[in-house]
Amino acid sequence: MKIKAGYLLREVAGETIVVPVGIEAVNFNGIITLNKTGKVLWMKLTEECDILALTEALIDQFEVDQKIADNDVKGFLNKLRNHSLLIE
Amino acid sequence: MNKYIIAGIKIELHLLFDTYFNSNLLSYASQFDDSANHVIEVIINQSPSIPTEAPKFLTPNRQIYEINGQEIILGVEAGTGKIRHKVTTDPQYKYTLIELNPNTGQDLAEIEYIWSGIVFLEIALLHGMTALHASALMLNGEAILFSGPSGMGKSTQANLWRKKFPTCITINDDKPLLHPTESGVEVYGTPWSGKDAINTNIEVKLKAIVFLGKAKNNNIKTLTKKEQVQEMVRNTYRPNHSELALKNLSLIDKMIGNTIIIGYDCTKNEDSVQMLYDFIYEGVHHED
Repeated sequence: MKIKAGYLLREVAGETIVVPVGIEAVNFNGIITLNKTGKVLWMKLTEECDILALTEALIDQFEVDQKIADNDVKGFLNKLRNHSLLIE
Repeated sequence: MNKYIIAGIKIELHLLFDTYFNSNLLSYASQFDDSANHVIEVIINQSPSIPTEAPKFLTPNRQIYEINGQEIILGVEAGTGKIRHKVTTDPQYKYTLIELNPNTGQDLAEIEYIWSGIVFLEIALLHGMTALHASALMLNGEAILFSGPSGMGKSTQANLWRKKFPTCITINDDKPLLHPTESGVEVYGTPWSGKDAINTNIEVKLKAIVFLGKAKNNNIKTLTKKEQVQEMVRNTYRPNHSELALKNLSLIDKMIGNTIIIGYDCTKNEDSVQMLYDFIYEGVHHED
């Protein structure tokens, strides 16, 4: 799975935000703000990867246990799906 | 003829209608000798040509092409597929041609106003300025901007301020330009200023940006950095192009942290002016 093309992630005033460009700017009339977990997952998902890789990334980065990482990944992926931002 | 300096940008405008400019363009006219950095020309064309190449992307009413370094945007009538207008430009917006089809029943003056405005806002981004959806006033030589989505009372609040402070000057009633510099943010008027066409050819130092909300009682809200970023991104002009979108974000980044950006849920009554004035100019925060 990976994030749909057409979204740019940038740091603005210390906040991580994502804005749509091209046709996505027409389709998605909003902005996305990401917390630290979201930023790590989003960046991983700019290239094809699976749930295991996402969970491992969170464990590596934040030293959380497997269960918390699993929940965070599931929650994040669901949000992306709800906004049709994920290609699976 | 047709030469203007708008927010410091030398531009040639060949427009056909004055309906939405209400003669305001005259105050931006200039007689500079060298050539303009940008030209926007509008013509009537009953049958704008359609590129044979595949579009870069398309929606039910818009097709965007990239051909030989030029961008072509076709406005299409949903259902019939008839071309309503065609905009052809280059990456530096040196020359932009806007072709209007008179056979589609559209308000040509409005389409000219909208597209010349969009092109100008993108040119402004190239020059380091972003457009905030706001009603901008000058008071005591400084700019105060009322921003927020349509219907949140920008014009109402601006009218209340004009009534209370008759020396107020309207910089731009719809999309003033913001130019972050080393010494603060400069606010510029432009001729694209919404349906009431109120604007002044002026450059003013920014005092505060106020994001408005409706309420039964007046309440000034301190915004977190995250909220400031969100409001600024939501309410500035958002281009489709990656480079311009990134430019816009970097301009917002420069403004946050050294600009007064607050929220204000308020009534439509005159007392809402005093509370905000006291907060911004006197540093007084009183509860309603």
